[in-house]
Amino acid sequence: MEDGFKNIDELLRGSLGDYNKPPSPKVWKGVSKSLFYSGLTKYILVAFGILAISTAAYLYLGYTNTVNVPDYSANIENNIKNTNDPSVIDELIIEKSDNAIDDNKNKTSTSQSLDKGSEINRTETIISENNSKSGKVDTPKKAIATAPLLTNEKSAIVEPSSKATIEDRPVDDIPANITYPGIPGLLDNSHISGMPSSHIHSNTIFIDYYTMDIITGRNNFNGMPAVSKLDYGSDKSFSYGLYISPEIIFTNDEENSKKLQVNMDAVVNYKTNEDFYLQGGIGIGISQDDGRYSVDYSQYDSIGYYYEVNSFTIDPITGKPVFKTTVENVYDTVDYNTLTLTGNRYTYFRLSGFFGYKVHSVKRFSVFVKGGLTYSILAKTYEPNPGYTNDDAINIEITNETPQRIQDTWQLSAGLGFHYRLSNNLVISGEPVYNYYLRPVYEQRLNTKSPYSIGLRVGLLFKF
Amino acid sequence: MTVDEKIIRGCISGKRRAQNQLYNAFAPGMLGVCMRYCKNVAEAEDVLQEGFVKVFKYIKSFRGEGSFEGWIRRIMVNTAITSYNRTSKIYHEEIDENTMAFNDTSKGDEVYLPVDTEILMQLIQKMPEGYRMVLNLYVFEGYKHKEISSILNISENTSKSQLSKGRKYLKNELEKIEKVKSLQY
Repeated sequence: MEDGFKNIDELLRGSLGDYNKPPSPKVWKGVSKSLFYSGLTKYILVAFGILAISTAAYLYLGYTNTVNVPDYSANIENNIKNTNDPSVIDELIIEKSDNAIDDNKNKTSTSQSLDKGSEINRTETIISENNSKSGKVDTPKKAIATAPLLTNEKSAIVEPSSKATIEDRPVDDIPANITYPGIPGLLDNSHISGMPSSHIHSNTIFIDYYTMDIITGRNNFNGMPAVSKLDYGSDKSFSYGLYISPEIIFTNDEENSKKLQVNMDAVVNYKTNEDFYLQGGIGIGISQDDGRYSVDYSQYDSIGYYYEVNSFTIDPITGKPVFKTTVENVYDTVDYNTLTLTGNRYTYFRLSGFFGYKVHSVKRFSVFVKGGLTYSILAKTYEPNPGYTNDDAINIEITNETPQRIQDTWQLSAGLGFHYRLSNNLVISGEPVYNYYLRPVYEQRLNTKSPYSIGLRVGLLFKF
Repeated sequence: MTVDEKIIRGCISGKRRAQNQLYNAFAPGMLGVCMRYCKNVAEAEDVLQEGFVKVFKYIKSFRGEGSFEGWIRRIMVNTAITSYNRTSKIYHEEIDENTMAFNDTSKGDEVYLPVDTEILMQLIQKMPEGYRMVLNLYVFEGYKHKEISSILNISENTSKSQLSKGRKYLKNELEKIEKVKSLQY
């Protein structure tokens, strides 16, 4: 029994140590699918990266025009303390130089000159905290405070409650609740411009301090930035954008497989009115697909065994023959078939046209309904040769079973556009989109339905 | 089995073609490993799939120390063990050394004839899961009972008893097969 094994362990190691069996094609399919989804996370990270960069840009660029408000309360208190008349405690008059008033295009220099306590020739009123609640502007009194008056002092802004006409009304009755159109919290001087000079009292805060270029640079009004009509969102304007959009294509055929495509588009938006815009785009789309190769090969393998009778004896008790046998394995050339896949890549040139209609808008956030058409034409194909490796295989024959791609295709698209305005010139856009292919992407398959895809377009829109 | 370094680099770069080449090179052998740990081919293919996903995910961590095939094999074995621990509801019988000695009736002088590998694989797969896991780890992977007890979260004695019972089980099954075959003559 020199061919035998000394014990069970040796038998197992000798027989099964090198055991191998080709797995079914579905295993690679499952591996490939898992790798596909893990690859998808890469693009999701890119999308989040864009979002993070945009947020950083917003935080940095969105507030560069803000003006630091110096704390002048201590200065006022000192002047009050130096005043002998106690009746002026809550009624303060501050003076401001004409130079500072005229220099409303350069707030920084104004505030700096005021910080230094420059000579003040003209009186203005700061509404004390108590009086601001009453909604009236105080009459100038005796005390003089030399605190700086800044164009963006919150104390200079009267909380609005309703609009009012101020012509033919005494100066003291001018309500402090006049608002600038569209911008809560700002006084409007358009009503005052036609007033007799006698009605224009020194205690009136003019909107002259708040010309539009200043308004644009202001920080915050009731939680919203002040935006003039020159800013983003104006009628009939162009903006330009860059989009990246990972998509999962569902082939919708008998295999119902999923393919990954990544599109990169440059777009131009033309806003025809406040709610409607047209978008034209040009870009490329890179689609991943499997090259399918059927591999037929032969391999010298075990096909079974038999017992070879070496000798026999007759059992003296039973009278039956007792055979002495050895096991002989039988080997032969066995034909196998397996499927091998390659990572093919197809690059499409894309032209797209979309329209968008605003259905909802809250502060900086807008929601659009989008629809459009995209034309794609195959520009470049990458189909590597299959590399089947099997040291034991002979007579390897590889057949290409990769379906032929069509040269061009049309897609109908529909989706939602979520726009968030990061700054006056910058908008981030996230657009879940559904695409329906008007024709199957493969030419050689019969009775296939048109594929469809779902994707997420993430991009930035700039206005120069 | 040797694998081209270019294929490994391709896999690290996430190239599907290289991944497919690597898979084709090692999948048959690794399915053999997985089949020893599972009760049927379908379950083994599930483990194989999960294992290869791990291979491609962590291939960057392969430092070239030891054989690449050995590295993949360890991943497959670990995946099979994880799958076993996840699904196992087997009661591990705790026995003492005496009981184990009583059960271990093998004399160590048996000689076994070659058996068809398919039949032997079927016997392994039909074994109770606990026997199969310990037998595989001890016989094929070369682990000691202390290590096996740690891997499977069982006591060392249980590991020894499972191995003993597993051997006995196989011995009995092989004897049955021999009897059936001898009756055929």
